Amino acid sequence: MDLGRLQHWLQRRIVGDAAPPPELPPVGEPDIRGSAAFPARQRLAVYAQSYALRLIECLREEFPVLRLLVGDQVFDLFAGAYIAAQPSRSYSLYGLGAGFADFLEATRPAGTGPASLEAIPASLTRLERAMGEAERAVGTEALPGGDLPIETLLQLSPDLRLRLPDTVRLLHLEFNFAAALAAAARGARPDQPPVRETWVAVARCRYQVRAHIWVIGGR
Amino acid sequence: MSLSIGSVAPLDHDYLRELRDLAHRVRPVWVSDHLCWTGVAGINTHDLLPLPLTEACLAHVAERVRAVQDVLGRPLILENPSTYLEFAASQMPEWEFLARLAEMTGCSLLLDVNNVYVSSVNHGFDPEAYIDAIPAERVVQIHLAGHTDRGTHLIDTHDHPVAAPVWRLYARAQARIGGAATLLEWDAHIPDYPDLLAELAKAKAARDGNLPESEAIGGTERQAVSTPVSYQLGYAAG
Repeated sequence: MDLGRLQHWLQRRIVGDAAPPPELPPVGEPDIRGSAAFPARQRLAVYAQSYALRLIECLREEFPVLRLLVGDQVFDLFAGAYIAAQPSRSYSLYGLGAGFADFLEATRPAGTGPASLEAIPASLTRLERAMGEAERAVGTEALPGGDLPIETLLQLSPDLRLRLPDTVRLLHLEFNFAAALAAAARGARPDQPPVRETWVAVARCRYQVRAHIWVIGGR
Repeated sequence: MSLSIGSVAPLDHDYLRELRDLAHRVRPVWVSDHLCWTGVAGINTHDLLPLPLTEACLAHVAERVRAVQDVLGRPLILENPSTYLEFAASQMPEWEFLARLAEMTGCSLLLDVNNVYVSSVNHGFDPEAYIDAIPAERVVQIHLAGHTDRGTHLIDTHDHPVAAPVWRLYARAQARIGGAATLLEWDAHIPDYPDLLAELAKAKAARDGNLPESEAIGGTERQAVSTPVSYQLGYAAG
């Protein structure tokens, strides 16, 4: 039995068609030992089902506000479609959600605009991913003077050059998610976010991540 | 769990370098992974996929274990996984594969007695024979965990108390190995702290030959996922 062919075959049975086919054609299917009570197809299904459920569970944890907004059934449809189309390629499960917003945007129904109801999932996913990235990035908390007010720093050194740390993410969104974030923080299902063009600064300070939202042309 | 020691894909040297650097920083007693593969062609299934236990596969895994040990500069510890399928092409039992791998490479072993039990039920082998045959001098740590009973098979879910047959295997293993370090794995549905301590007390008693009286068996659930991961990713949105 060729180990490479076997592994490509099994991976395709678990991951689905998004897994690349083996370079060499398989020579029949590997013989899996089964029993009447626990047949081979059911054994394969344990791996295939666990693969999908495990990764969907990861996305549920990473995007809790979207999950609350659209409900478990719709969220799992989104997540399952994403995983089926783009299998994980990182040894870290944290990498799994990096392309979720782009996937939702790319698969938004044709004829719907960026401020349409159908655009909410991709937009909210982009915001939640930014919050996760800000939480994990290397921040300034451990730097000397890292939490001094900007005015104080400029007084100490007028020629100071500033740069944004990786714990700050700037977004331009078509919806105002402030109420949705607040509702989700209480564990409540958010109402549909209003269409409002917003600038959002996701920032971490003293290990607390917050989304600072400015509504463009509004209060 | 992404070393993918049994994969035909080239070893991920970026991952290995990060693992080596981490080991230099935190100076762990052991660095371990599982006897399995996790993906090929750049894909990571994040699962412990089974290997055909053949002579050719043994040679393949041994070569990779030696390469990993050369990068890490220390012996690797390999753990027996729970498995749900096995290949007809396999030529030896898992314990023999692990014993010969340890002999060929100098690696040590991590014996997960719950995994032995789960696999024994799923494949119909004698778990006590496995415990009796594993080279005791190679085992540096024992793992305990709970599993879920799906009726026709067991799934390693780490979300229940340790089952009675697993306690018996644990006591048997400790009698052979002689007081190996023990880790109780409980990744989901984690109980209150006193209940967790009580489970550890059972382990201490079982290590000394006093088996717990309870007959805890994992419950039957519709969707049991092996190796749950939610605890790795939680964060508080501000």
